[in-house]
Amino acid sequence: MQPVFQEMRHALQKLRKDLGFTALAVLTLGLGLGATLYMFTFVKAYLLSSLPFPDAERIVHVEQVNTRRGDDGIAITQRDFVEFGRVQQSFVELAAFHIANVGLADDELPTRLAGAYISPSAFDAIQSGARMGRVLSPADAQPGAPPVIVIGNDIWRNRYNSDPQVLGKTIRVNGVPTSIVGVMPEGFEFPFNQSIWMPLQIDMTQPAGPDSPRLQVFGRLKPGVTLEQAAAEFANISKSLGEMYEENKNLTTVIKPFEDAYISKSARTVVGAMFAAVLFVLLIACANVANLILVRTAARQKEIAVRAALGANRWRIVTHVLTESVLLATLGALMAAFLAERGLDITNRALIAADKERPFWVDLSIDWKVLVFAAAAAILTGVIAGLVPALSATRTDVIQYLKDGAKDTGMSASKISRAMVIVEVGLSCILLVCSGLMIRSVVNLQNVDLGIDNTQMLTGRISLLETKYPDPASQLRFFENLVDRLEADPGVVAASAAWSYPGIDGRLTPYRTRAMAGAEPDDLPPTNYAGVMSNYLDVVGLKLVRGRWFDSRDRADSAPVAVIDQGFAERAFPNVDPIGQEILLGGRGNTNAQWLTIVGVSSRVLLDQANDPYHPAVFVPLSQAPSRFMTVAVRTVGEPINFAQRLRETVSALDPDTPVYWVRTLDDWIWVANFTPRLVSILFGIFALIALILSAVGVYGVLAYSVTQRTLEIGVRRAVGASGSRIINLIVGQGMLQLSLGLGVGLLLAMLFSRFLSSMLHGVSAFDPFTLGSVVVVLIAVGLFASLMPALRAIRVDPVKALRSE
Amino acid sequence: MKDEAQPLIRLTNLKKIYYTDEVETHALAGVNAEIARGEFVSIIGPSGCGKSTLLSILGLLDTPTEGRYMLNGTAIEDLSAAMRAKIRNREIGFIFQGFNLIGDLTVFDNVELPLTYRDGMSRAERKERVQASLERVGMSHRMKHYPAQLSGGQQQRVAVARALVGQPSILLADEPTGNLDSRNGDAVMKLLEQLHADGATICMVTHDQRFAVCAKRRIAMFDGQVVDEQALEELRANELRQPLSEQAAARSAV
Repeated sequence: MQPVFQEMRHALQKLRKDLGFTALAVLTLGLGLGATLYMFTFVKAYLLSSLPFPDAERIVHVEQVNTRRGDDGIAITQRDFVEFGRVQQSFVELAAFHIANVGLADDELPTRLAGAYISPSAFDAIQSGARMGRVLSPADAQPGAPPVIVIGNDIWRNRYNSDPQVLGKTIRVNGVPTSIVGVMPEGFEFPFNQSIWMPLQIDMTQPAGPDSPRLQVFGRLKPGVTLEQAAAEFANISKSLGEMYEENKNLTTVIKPFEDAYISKSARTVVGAMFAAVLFVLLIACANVANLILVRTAARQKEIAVRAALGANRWRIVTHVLTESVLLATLGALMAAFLAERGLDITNRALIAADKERPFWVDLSIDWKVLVFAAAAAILTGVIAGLVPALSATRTDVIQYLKDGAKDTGMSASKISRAMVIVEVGLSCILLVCSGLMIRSVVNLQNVDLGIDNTQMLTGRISLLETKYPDPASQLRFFENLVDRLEADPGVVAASAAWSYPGIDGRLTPYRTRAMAGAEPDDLPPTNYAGVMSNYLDVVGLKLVRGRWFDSRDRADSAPVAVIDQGFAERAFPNVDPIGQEILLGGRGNTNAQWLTIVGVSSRVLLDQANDPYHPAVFVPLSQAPSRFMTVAVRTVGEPINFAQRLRETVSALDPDTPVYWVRTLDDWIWVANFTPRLVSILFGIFALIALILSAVGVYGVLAYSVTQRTLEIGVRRAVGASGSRIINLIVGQGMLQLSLGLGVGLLLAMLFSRFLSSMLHGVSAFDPFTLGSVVVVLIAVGLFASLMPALRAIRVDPVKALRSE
Repeated sequence: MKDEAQPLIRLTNLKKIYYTDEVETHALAGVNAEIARGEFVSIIGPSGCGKSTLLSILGLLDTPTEGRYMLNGTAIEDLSAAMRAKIRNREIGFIFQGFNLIGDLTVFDNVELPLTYRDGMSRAERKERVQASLERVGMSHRMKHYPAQLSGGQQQRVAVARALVGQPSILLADEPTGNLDSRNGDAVMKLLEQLHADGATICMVTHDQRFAVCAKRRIAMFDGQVVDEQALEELRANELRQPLSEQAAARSAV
């Protein structure tokens, strides 16, 4: 180790003496490594993390797939869950849950918390126990059992001040007096980010139709049973169920690691693609620093020759150069850790602001895994950046340099430098194309036409307690009263309640017209639909283009009616007047559905999140489709967010047990819906900008060095009559040649790479000619700028001095 | 054990040929020579006669094309590059015309440098040796200075200290006074004479007759061969009388 310490001491001395070089190299590597650490934290969190339970890899998720429609991720009906549990042999424990926002009321203000109704066997499946009290037991899930709840550590600490007497305390959960029986350990938020758990009671009296309650099913595989074996067993059970029940026709089962159910394949692909992108930035940084060291090493050939003469073998010379580059990378890594930590802090705050929830085991912070990666990346980066200069140094002509110090520092170094610049330009091109595509996509998303006037709108979600509002009439009455009170407020232009609104959410279902009488249920096209109040049009600013809107004629007991949007009319009734036509909503097994008569046609509307694709829309009167779960919307006179408190107060005055949550303006909903693509586009933009700057510095550095090396040649050319423009052409031409080669390779690779982003692109193709053309223009402009400065220096070469110095 | 009676260096029919495209240049054309322990030898001859090539081979920076080179009883020509580096570090001390000190290192670090390439030497021992070596050349008071802060003569004395610090078998000096004015040149030569008086073996390449005579023995070279001094003078005189075309023809025939 002694030689390494000696080299480190010498390298530190040298770096201290050449602060300009050190700062530039550390900054370059710091930016490259910083971006890499930042994205590696995402990779660690989303791709490498698993549930924090014993043998977590044996905990798997069970879901259904409709093989005919291609729908996947279908939750499982209670009946199928019971059937699976009765027959299966692959799992030690098969468990289920469904997540719900639960109203919790005690001595403090009522609140809504993310909770889960969970089968007691779940705790055995994940092998987790309570930190205080007990977890749920099978007896708790029996019909008629006293209501109990297990709370999370955070609630125990924050809401109950870590009171050890909390066990046995009775609180109201969704209006029902419920006893606290346990407190879970800190960090336990299974299955996603839940903080309270209630027993899941299976109600087999519920029909197993398309709208029946569905469960997320998971379990722990028995020792020795593989995922494939379990999948084969469940496929057989599914086949049997398909033969027994009409609604199970075309359904099969998919079993996958539990984490995969909550982190989508497209999210993994995007994280992977972005990690690859930052590796490109790191490679560009490495190439730049390698060039810097190469130039520096070329200038130090004599010193290296002296070291060789004094007995330094090839290994020591390589160590000498590598020590310096690894030291630079280590300093860069320190800067990178700081930059990554800042970046993650900003990202975490933005995610919280955008209500972007993530699974509890996904931790976007720098931990020991990231630090180990940082150390390994720093050493590897140092070696990559230093290897070419180090090997180049071992080829120093010792005798020549000791004799008189050679003036030509070797063509091989120049060739390597030029090759590295071509690589840099190519990689920058890939990043610029990806960045350009994402920016175009986000601009498209931001300008998406919802088909309504989305300004001046405030919305909030309300879930009525089943115990207080058990029947449709009481539910409808609550919302009608609420809307009346809101519309009486002078700050409100109009108010309404509906299942959902354009830009917020959608509910997709298959539909059938009379003309589709013979169609298989799984072949039916989808539409978004929502139950709405009669003043919906006034609030959202939707236009009625034909027929009528809902009014007092549309009661619960009158003929069922619907209003469709123009998109629906064009697809379902291209050649006939839609007014008076009938449609049926719901797919296979939906035996209770009624034919709805179309009474009106609205303008085209996107009844879904702003980043979702357009589907036709169907509205039904709320009086004929009441629900406990509704969104109220108010069009305000002033700034909509300023009405938030009044909205809460109005709801609370009507029913103190019913909180209103997700209070946001419609613009905020659009912002939140577009948050992920915007984040990806911002990150790609930052990475591309770093890459562009580093590449420009690379082109400049190599050309500037080349001008220094070619001083004599330029002097001779000037002496024999070359004009300034000829010299500029010579130098800029060299830069443009490198740029063209890099651009050619980069464009080809960019077209391959951008396909990984296709799931994130909205209204723009992965091969968008405008983006590709813009990247070419930007790179050429930057390349010209970077080449021009060395070229201008070249024409200032004094031929007399240049020739005399030789 | 090395045989102390054997010469330190023995060269037998040593040849060095450089090949460039179709041209063959015979830099050394069968050199036979010996240098005994404790000798002070100077190698003289006109430019291009092969002095520097010979010194490079003696210093293990280059390998002969043919012939045998025995250093301290070890045949050098077949050794690996790593082994040559190791022997170079232990057996040879270089003094260059251009000093070749490393500008980023202090005087102390420059002198210490050869010792850092030696395995198993403690830091304390290195420090002791560096100090002793610098005291020997009268530069111990400038240990923390950088080369740029020293005069040419001082830099060369530091270079001598660096050559001495490893206690090599032989000092190879390539025009050690070439970059110095006469006063500093004299001082460096006095230093070498003193070292020789203390028992050092020195082989010096120089074209300066004034300093060549300081050596106890002179090896004269002409066209890659060792000649006696009288013959060298005659060859030089002939060369002056010959037309250039004939000189070129005579050289290509070697």
